Amino acid sequence: MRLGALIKKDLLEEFRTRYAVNSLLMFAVTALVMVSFAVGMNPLTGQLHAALIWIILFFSAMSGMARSFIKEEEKNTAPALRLAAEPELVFLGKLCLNFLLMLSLGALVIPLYYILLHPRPGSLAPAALVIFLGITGLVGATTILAAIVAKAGSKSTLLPVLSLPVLLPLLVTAINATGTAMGGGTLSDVSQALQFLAAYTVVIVTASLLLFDFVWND
Amino acid sequence: MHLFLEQVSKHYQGRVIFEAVSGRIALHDSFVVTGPNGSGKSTLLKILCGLLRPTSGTVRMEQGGRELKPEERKYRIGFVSPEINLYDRLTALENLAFFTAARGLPVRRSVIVDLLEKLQLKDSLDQPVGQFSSGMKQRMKLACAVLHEPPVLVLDEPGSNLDDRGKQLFENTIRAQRQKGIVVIATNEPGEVEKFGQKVLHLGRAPGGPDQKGPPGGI
Amino acid sequence: MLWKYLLGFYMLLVTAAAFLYAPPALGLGELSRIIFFHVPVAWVGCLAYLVSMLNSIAFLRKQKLEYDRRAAFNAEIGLVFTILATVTGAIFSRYTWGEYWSWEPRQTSIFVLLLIYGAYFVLRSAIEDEEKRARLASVYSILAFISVPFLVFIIPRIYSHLHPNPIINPGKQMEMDARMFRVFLASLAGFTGIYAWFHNLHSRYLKLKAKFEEAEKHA
Repeated sequence: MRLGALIKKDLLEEFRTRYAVNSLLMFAVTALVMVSFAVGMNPLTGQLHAALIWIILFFSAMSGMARSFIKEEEKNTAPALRLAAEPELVFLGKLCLNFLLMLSLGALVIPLYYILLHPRPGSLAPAALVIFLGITGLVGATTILAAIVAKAGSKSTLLPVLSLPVLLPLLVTAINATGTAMGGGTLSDVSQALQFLAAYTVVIVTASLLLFDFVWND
Repeated sequence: MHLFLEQVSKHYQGRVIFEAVSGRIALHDSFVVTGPNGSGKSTLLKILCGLLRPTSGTVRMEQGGRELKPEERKYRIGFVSPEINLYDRLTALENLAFFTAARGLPVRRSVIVDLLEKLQLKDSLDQPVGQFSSGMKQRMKLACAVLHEPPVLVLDEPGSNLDDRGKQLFENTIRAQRQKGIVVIATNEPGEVEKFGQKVLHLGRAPGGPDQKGPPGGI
Repeated sequence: MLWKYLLGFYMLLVTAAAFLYAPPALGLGELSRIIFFHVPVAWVGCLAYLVSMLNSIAFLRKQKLEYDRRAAFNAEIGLVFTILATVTGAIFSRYTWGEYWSWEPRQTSIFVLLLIYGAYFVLRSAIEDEEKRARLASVYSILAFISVPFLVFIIPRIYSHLHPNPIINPGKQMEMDARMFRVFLASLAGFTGIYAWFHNLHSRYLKLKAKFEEAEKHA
């Protein structure tokens, strides 16, 4: 399967350098520790916990995903890829890879957050679902933006600047719904947010697929 | 099979790189592009491969009496260029297996190993490409370009970084490719022009003048 | 040429009417007069973004740089008007709700518009090649535009609602005095006229610039 080959290639590269994973991990852990020191023993509301979690996730995502296309442009491997696979395929490959990367990050950061800051657990299943869909949308919107940044001279500081306006509806919804769930909200309390996150992801990924050719090819 | 260049021009940031280049390349042709540095040889090859859009003019490719779409053309070309690299972290074998699979072709280890053997890289097939010498990298790029047996092989400065034995390997590949399809080479080495220049296109500015419109390229 | 003066005179009349003809709104007092300027300015800020985004789509379809230049200058006009809307909004906010900024839905929306404009120009300034800049900026503009309806949907559900209700509620009664409403509409038309004038000026400037560049090439 062609998509599988693209993902496998990136995983192999990642496995040998561990660049993205390392920088992502260090970033997330640094942010977590800082937050944990700042909060200390003060009790926070569910909303505040949710906001902190998403701030950590957002900025780690920015530092981790920026590399996904920059490395192809910097090392001049991008033209070889252009001659071998259709743009849609390349996009989907990077999308899947970023998704795997961010899911592993989430699987690490969230438990660590609970251990370090011990918020009230609230309702776990709705919270997990919101965070899962939120990460999906985050990856869906950021992947094409990472490609734009790679084409714009690989200035990785550009990514958060470009991402924030596009991601704002997603972040606002995700923070709010995560807060609701951490405050003990049930599945039906967050169902509207879940639908919203899914709709956002579908729309933005479809648009990315249509527009990616313009970004990827000169 | 034919490859047509029709009045192809490229401007970059308001500067004219070349203007109204035309040419017709047929099956079994080897087509050489020459010209001084900055005359746009590499740019022309990139346009030919579909990696770059021309400012005006068109590139067309016909195969079996059918005209190919621009995006189809891209996948029927093998391109060796100093501006294109393989994945440094992957081994020779992994690189070639990846590019085969990414093209949607069946990956056969024996085919890849045979090819590496032909290019005298068999001993290094499990070594990361990043550790290769520049001559080995150049041969590796050639392996990647002919891997999918493209009807058109495009080589940008193929002789660079190669020793005599490496040059011989390239020459053999070029001759073999001419039997099956088309070869396009950009080079400034007089020896190579003489050897392969069945048709020669000279790109360059009009001598002695700041006139950037350049002479119309022709054969 | 004449209608520029007519527009100036018209805006003079609208300004005078806003202060002398329209009565102050119940509850808000003299402060309510700011809507004759604040709302039209915000409207132009949104309109310019819409026009800019449509030009971006046109660029991607036709690949003519002219459309991208239009997209860019519409964004410039839009940015100025959006800043004006933000400032007038903040003043209004300060004297009705006590704070310059209160993350009220409409304030948040205009803030996001500012963010989009800001990111758009940062992206443009990061790319030197005009063609590439046009493509990437166009794609970004469209992506950002897609996120706006989601925002409009989500924000009022989350933040408290302080803003005066929309002036015209579909299906409901108009909440505005007839004289106020007349001045409001006149101002809306006037500011749209100013936008059209800017647009026209800039289009002519671009055309002249293109002509000069063309002439320089041939000189």
